[in-house]
Amino acid sequence: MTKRFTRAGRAALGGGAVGLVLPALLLALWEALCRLGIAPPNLLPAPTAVLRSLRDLWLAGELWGHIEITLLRVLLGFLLGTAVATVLGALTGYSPLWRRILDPTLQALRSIPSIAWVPIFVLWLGIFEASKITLIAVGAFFPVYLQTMAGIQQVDRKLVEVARIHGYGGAALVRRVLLPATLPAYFIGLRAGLGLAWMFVVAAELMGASEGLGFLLLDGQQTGRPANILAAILLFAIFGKASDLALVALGRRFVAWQDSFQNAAEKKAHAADQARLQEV
Amino acid sequence: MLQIRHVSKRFDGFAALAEIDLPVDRGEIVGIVGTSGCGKSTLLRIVGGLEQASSGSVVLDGVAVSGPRPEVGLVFQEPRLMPWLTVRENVEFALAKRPREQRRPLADAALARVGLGAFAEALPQQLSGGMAQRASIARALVARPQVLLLDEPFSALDAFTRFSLQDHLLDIWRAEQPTMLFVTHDIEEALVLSDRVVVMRAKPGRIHAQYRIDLPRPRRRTEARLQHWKERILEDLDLAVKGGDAEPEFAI
Repeated sequence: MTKRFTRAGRAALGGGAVGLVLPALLLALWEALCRLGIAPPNLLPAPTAVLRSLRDLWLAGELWGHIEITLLRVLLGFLLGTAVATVLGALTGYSPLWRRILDPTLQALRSIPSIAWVPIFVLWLGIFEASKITLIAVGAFFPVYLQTMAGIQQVDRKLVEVARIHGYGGAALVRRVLLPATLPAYFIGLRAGLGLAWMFVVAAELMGASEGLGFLLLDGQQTGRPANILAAILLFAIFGKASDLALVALGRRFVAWQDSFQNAAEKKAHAADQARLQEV
Repeated sequence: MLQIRHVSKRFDGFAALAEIDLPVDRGEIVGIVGTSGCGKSTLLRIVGGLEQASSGSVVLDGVAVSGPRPEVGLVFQEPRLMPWLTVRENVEFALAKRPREQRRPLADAALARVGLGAFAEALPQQLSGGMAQRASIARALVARPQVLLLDEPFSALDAFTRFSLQDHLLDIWRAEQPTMLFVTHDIEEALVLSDRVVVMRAKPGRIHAQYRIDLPRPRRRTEARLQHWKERILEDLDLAVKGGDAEPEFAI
């Protein structure tokens, strides 16, 4: 580093801003390649062309409908998968008997690549919403199920003993000890489940849909409009990240006690980075 | 008073405790020392109602102990605080049976007694080891138990913190006079705190000797008579002479 680096510049580099440098450079390079005619526009439209096609789709009045139906599918599939996973995970985590009954079967089902269910779901449930939502639910199910089970199993037995000493049992034990002790693992499962729900909504919409962001992808391919494909990918990224952030914010409210610990660790790592920068 | 009558405990044919008889007077402090595996922690867990004796009984004021009860408070080697609750909420945790409006003042009073009044809002992870153990003592004391059981309560702490918590425990005892039964592998700790030291030996777990420590408190840790008892207890445990048939896993 040179002496010309200002204090403010260093602070920005130490913070989150440093992560924006590379994508900004890549975008600039991408735009330049397109402007100079090096990249073929029928395969790789410029970033500005992608934004323009987003605007056109919006002005045509069809974009919000695509977004809406995709969000609805993700939400319903995620809620359905999470609900079933929470019940079964709680059961297998809490009771060794239920674990012996259910877990081997569920683990066996887990080893089936979930996309392999598509044909049979379409056959059983039709080509419309039911099969799509079921597929998304299957995707969201496993991480939530596994984390719920592991979270409950890993609750510190010594804390449970303290609760029993003070007369907690049944629902009170669940509410005061098992639930709060399980929540951190549960939220990890929810985040992973939501990520898979987004992955599976693409699969579900690619397999046959007349609307949705996934349909936009397919439509862009079939009508030779790469800008639309990239616009749909951009929207997936934005809504996927936004929904994850919403879940993190929700989780923070419930597991603040754990978060404050993570914050301390982050601050320590950040301070170490700062110290290293100062040395340079 | 607390009576431990003919208590035996077997695990799969292995005799962890054999015919333990130990009457404890109200307000008495009894320290139990012994080598690893002599069953001293098991005995404490039976008295606390966490485990059932294979035979024999524990009777508190004429009532047989069959499970955990509010008259008996427990302190473990680890603080065992709920990490998601503040220090005050951890203490209130022991007051589930009390009306809501009583919990907070009682918890704050208990925290004040262990010198943690200023840390009521802190989370357990923000406390040092000694402070966390004081919080767990506050939780054990908040319901004003008649008997306080402590299972190696200070063994995870450094020597200075240990001394200060020992003094602290005696202050609490002077103020509230609970019957205290504690397990330790620190002979000096047992001698400084106890009215009576019970020496246990293993295979099967049994009471080998008892010493009444009739010295006024506070006691000096360097007191000559404590050294005398210490030597006798070391002999009881075959640890007095270097190279004797001492149990190899036992460290002083």
